[in-house]
Amino acid sequence: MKKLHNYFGTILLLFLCNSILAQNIPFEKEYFKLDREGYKIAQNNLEDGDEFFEKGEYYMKNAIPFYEKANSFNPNNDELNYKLGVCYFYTRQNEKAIKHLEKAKSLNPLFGQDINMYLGKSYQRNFEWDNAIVAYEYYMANLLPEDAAGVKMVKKYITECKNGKQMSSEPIRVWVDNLGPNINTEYHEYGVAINADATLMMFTSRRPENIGQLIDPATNDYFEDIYYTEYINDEWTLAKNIGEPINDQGHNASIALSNDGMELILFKGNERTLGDLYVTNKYSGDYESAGSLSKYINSKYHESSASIAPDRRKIYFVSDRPEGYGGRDIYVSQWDERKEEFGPAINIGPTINTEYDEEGVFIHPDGKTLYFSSQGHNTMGDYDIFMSTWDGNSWTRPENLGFPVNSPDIDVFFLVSANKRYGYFTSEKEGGYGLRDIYQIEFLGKEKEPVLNSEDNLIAALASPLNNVIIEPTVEITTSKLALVKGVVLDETSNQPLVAQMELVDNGTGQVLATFDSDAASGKFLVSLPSGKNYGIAVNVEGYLFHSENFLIPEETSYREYDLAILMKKIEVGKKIILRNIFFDTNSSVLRPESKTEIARIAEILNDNPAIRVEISGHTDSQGEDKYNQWLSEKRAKSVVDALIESGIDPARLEYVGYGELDPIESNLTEEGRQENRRTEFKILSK
Amino acid sequence: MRLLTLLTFLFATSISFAQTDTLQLSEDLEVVKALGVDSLGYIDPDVLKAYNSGVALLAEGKTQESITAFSEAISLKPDFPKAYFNRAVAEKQLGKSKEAYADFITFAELDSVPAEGYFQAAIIEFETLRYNESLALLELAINSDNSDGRYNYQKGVIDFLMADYDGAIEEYTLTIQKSPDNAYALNDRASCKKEKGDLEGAINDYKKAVEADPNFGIAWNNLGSALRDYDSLDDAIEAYSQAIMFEPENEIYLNNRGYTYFLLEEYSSAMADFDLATSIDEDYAYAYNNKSATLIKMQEYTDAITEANIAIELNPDYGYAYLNRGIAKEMIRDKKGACSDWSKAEELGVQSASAHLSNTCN
Repeated sequence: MKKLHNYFGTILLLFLCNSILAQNIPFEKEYFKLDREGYKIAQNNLEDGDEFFEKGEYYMKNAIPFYEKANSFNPNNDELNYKLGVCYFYTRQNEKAIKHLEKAKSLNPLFGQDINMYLGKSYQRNFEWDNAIVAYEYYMANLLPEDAAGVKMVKKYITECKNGKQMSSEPIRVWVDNLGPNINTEYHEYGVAINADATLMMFTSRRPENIGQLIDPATNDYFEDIYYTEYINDEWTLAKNIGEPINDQGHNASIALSNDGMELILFKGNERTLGDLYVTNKYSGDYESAGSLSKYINSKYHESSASIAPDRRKIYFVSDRPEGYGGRDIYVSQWDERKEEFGPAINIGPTINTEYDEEGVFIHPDGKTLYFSSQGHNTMGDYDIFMSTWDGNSWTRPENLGFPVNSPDIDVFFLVSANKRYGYFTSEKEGGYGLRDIYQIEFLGKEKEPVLNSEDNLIAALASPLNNVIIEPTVEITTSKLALVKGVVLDETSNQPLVAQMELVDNGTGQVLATFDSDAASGKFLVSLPSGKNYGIAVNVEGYLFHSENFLIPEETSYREYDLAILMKKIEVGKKIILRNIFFDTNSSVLRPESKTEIARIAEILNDNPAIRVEISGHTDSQGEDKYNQWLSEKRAKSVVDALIESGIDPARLEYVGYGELDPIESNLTEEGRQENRRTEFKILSK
Repeated sequence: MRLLTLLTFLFATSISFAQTDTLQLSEDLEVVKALGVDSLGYIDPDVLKAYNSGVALLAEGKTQESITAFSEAISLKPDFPKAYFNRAVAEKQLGKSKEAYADFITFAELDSVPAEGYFQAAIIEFETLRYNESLALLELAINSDNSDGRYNYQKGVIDFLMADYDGAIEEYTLTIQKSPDNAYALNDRASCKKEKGDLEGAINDYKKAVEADPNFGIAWNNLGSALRDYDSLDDAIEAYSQAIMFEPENEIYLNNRGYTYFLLEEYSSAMADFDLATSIDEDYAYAYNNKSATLIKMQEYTDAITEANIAIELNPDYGYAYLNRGIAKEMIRDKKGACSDWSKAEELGVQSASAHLSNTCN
């Protein structure tokens, strides 16, 4: 009986405790008569917290310590739990947000309506899709019927949850890695810009060692500065502030880096225009002072993101100018050859832009794949990252990159390496170094299917079993269809780096696709060549013979990299160069039209150096009859000379000779070697 | 004489269908004694003595001595076909195929019913992979005796190996017409149909084979594989289980059933079968590779690498084991190791390895 009595006593105590726990206790004196001192301290903490809370979302992180102290004194106050929940919501601490918001709601089911919205958002960010939908539906049920905008917004959130539920159940195969302490700190890091071969990275950080070491009162964070890191020996080096003049005391954020890393587009805060985009170029190892991008790009509105196409003829950027489809939209501006600036901005249209915000535009080095973030389309919450491809006429319907690249939170400023194997993005996910960190994502592609073997005794009379025919699973090649050509331009004799003017030509049309310089300090260059074209690259340095390279990149070619060391030869008697962009059909001496640009180049060097006499020579591989090869090589050399004469060069300055197969530069035993041996050369005879 | 001929060939016709490449001497000495009698009733005692001695020696396993004895009989009576035949049997046992072939042909040329001589010579040609020559001899055997289904069966085997599945089906069908319950011919015809992509026809014939001989493990296994290819995975499991019931120690059947469990995504059952297969034959590389593939699906990548390592150790040219090991290595983030394995697999002709290299490594 005594035991039974104790049992009921325990039950009663638990019930009473539970009732007390579930009861809202206001922060009022009469509830804390036994601990007046404690109440006073808690009240002070509450007031200190409120001071930050009322300043808005950027200051809520400062309110948390005060509120937590007050909450430890009185954990059963509905309003304090609500405020703590909101503070944790804005500081992206979703589980804590949920805990306090649920508590506030349980203490006072009639607490303000917006608690359901915060709860819904927190559940959504925490991947609790069904709970989020319930919270949103509860919120929506209490909206006034005339609040059409509110209903539309909540319906959108519910759709996002449904999208998220579906996408998170089918995650794409990736590795996600924090880029580590050489880049990330306890402060914000975001806004990655990277060159095409992923050896140089710029990013934005809001850490104390910014220029001026100032805090922006509007956001309660340090001013943004640009930092850089290089990929050396399989790791990113310790990031350094890029320094002045690129960074100054205001906001300076990295936006985009050209494929070769020589050009940086950056954002600079500006009270007058709300922020504009600037551009700077590297020369002799340092970036020059940044200049504002075209007047067509920068406006009195906010321009926040940009990406230059690999042919440098288009720039995609984001602006919240009012003529768009809603909020921030993506625009494109074409390079104006005549004015040497980017021309009027054109909205890239409703396939990409939505009534919601678009942000973080990135055009891949293949020139056809656009990555961007959007709060529209089928996002699973806030900004998600999407991809669309230019099919020659229009942009394809944007595809959500899926979970875990995207999350219900802000997923923005995403970019992809040239081979499309790596992506870089910013996230505030748990497990980082603090606040926003930069992450690398490695795409593993579709699951790689293992292959099994079996065997059968198909012929009963034979003892040995026969292997079953293996039909291997089809594996699609998914890497970028482009080639990355990088290298260094050096003096042939001294091996010193040279600043070369490089010209990328579409040999098919003769159109100059891009011109760029090699780096003065290192002689390095990098260019991406989307597949499907015959490219000629001419390398020019004053006082030197030009150097030409040819890259025939068929449409079906998958990603590959070329690394070249280009040795430039001075214009001296006896020096010769291979004319790699002179083309003939097999067994023909008729110049193909693709040779036109190279002929013009030779004519130009002859015009610039009127005293020189040159020999044009033809060479073949060892296949075929010796006599025929000699005859063909001579005819081909003559064709080049004839073309030069036609373009106005004095015949007296030109000689032609056919060497047939007598002067190979590579082995004739391999196809690669034979291809090298079939060539046309240019040699200086006198000057 | 007819009786003598028949008795002489009793041993030859006792050759099992399953052992067309093996000759057995099974007659007893009493029967052989009569062999020295010629058509006129004359018995040369020396011939009889030498010949019977050869038979006895062969039966005792003194093969070389038996050859000497048969040779002596032949030297005394050069037109003695049975002595050539039995000498050929002894020569073949000693691996002297060339000599055996010559004696079988001599037998065929001397005997009034040459079919068996041509047939045995055809077997020798078959064993040395001279399929066309073997087919020509089998044709001579059939022309000599069209009642014996073995000759058509053997032609079917050669046609199959030469990928002439239509020709093989024709020969197996002739065999079945001569011997309707011939489970071997039914099995093999099914295999021809399978190779031609006629899975339904194959399943039908394999079923007939197991009806003809319900203990025929090979046919049950083959039925299982055909059903597996036909996506009737549960039925395949049942057929393999029948095969395993008759031959519980057959690692091939266990490996095949494990593969089918893999396709059914029943990875634990698959592992159990592969484990059993490797416990029966610890050098069975396929089962180790299949374990590796299954462990990949079970996301036990380190163990998958261990199993692939064994498969590769057993067969260093096993392309799929490199492919699978690469997949497992990628998942433990050993990208360099994965790429190296796929590169090796590509070298060994595994096509999907090329795509993995292109997508992940280059």
